[in-house]
Amino acid sequence: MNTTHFEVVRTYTSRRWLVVAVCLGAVWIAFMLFLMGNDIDNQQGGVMGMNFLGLPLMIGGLLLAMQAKYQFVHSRARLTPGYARPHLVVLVALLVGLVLVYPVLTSWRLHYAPLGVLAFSTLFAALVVWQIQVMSGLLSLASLALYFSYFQPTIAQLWVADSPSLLLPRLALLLIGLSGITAWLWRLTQMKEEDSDYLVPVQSGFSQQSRMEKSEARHLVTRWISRSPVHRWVVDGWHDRLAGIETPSESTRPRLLRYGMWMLPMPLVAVQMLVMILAIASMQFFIFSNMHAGEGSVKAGPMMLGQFGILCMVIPAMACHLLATRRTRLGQDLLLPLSREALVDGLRRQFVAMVLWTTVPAVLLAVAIAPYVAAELLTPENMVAVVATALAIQPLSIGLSLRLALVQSGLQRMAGMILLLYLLMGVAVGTYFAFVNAGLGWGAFLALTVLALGIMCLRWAHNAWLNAELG
Amino acid sequence: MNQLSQPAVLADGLCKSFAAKQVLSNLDLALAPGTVLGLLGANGSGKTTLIKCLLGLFRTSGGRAQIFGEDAWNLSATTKERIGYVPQEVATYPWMRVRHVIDYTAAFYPRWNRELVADLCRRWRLPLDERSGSLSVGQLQTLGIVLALGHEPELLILDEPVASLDPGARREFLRTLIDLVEHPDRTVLFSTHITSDLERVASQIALLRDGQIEFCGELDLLKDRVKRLRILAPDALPASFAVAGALSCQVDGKLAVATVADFSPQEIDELRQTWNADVTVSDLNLEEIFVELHDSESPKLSQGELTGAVR
Repeated sequence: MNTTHFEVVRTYTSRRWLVVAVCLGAVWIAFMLFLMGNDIDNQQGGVMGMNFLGLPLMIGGLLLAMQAKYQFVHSRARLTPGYARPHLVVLVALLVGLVLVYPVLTSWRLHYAPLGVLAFSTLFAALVVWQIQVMSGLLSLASLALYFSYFQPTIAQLWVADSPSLLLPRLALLLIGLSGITAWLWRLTQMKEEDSDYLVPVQSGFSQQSRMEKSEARHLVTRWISRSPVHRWVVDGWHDRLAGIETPSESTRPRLLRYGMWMLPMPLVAVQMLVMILAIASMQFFIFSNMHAGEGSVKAGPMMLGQFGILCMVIPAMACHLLATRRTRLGQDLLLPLSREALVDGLRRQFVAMVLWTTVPAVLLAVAIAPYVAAELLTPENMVAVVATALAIQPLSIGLSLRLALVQSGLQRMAGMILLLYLLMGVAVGTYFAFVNAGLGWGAFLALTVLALGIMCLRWAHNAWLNAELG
Repeated sequence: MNQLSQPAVLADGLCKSFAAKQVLSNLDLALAPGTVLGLLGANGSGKTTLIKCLLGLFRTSGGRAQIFGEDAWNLSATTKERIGYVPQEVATYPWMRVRHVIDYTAAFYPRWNRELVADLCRRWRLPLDERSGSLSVGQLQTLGIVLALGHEPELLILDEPVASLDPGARREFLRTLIDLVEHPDRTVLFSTHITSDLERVASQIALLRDGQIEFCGELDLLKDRVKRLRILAPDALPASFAVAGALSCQVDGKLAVATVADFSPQEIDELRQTWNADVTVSDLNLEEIFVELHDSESPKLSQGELTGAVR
């Protein structure tokens, strides 16, 4: 390896926080593998396979594919002599580590069939890198299906079981996976500016965007709308209303801010989010049903409702992402004829509206499903506990998410959202169990404390927005 | 202070720093209504930071910034109705068509000149039905200018508005700007690197250097202060030849060329007598003055009044 290769390696470490996060993740996985390796039986193959193989491959694959696109979706990739070779060498070395060496070590530690694991890892990595390459939702679904395949006992056997009869299908899958990765490497060097996949995956938003990345992001949104006639029709129909708006009074102007929030009106965003939540919850229902196949699907229902609750907590995170995306335009919005207070208030209202538009139907849906999947939970005590906890936690969730939307670095914001999600889950579970186990008085006390904290957080977020330099 | 005597823009002892880096220090600037001021400065001199502080997009670290007498950080909606701003990098809503972006902005303003906007869009060939996300950087800049002019603001602040425009669009923009500044109450603060544009439009110039305004005044006054001397001696001049207080001085045999500021006729006579030289004085255009003043080794212009212009 010469100096050029080291220079290329250095480009992978340019995002310091990301490197720190990846290193921490790697240490955690190594530690867990060391700690748990000997105690694992094949029945646990699903969870272990997903955690120790699927997750690192997914994250690692995404990061490598994005970095590769940053390197090759640039005029220097075609104009600099000898550019492709060192970049590909480093990329291949990293891919070998991620897709071949790491899975083999894992299979040795978890007592999985090495060839099965390699078939999975190459196929999965190929799907992940192509998903980033062409930004295809279909490939995302395919990679997710493969990721969750560890929970389907028959398919999981294909990856983990020690069975000579699986040699040929495994070899075939391995070959397909390797061909997919090779084709992707070739594609990286062949992309031209007019190609549809000549785009940096800027929506990842790992860092503050450069001018070129902002321009790419604009084109990406336009291209995305152009693909679907239905989207075009909805987006245009909604914005055509702007031409007919009579000049509103100073007090009603902030309501106009909703048009700049996202391309779709709030109810449609809510429907999209709801469909997504339902899809994920259904998938988890399927997974838990399979995990507890021997015991019937009795436990899957409550688990599904629990997951539904967790997903509802993710909604403010999504609203936070949308608001953070708007941040680049706020310098201009601030000079619209609105006072700073009115602008911040208007943005906050849009944020809350977005959360409520999605959360309320999601909760209603959960209430409608509950009698069918977890009838035993519908006791008056439980209902009081759930409703009180859900209401108490909203200001905290909204306040902290609103504050996080001010964080400019996408990576730091994402890390903050993950921590926030865990914090909220802990608070919600604690409050719920205080109601159920310690009685109504303690539960109410805790719920009121959370509510008071939430209101303080809302004020804190509001002040932070008022004092933020939005230029 | 009544509205007439009140400056449209005021920076008083303005300071702005980012962490340990001081960008603006104790900067003073006042724009009377009706002034067209060109803001010049080298890259990184703090022009955009100054503009953002003046508009309340950045919070000042010290001093005060005011627009029409209001604290820039807390501008009222009414005052904002009087301001138009074209940023260096125009941000847009990429999913909206150009006409949607215009309608969206127009909806906020009680007075929006639809005829003017339609005319500007036609003259600048803005594709109204295209999504704003697919516009080129130049088209986006043009859209930003249209949005800033639509409500016919009393104060127009432009941060390098023509940097991305093609020569035709730039000429069209300048023509529009000249039409606009004919209105006696319209104030324009115009930051650019294209000095020839400033010479066409601006009546006053502010030079920003090291976080402070080095010169602020009439463009003609600046041209009067800074001159180029061509000194031709009968014999070769020594390598150590220098003109006291010169911004720059180059010696080549019998000929020396020096750029001077605030040089008096008496000092020229002294040069003639000392070196028995033929001294000719010539004007500099704004670009030449800018280059001379922003040479890292050149001394700063004195803050004092003009003591004796070279004619």
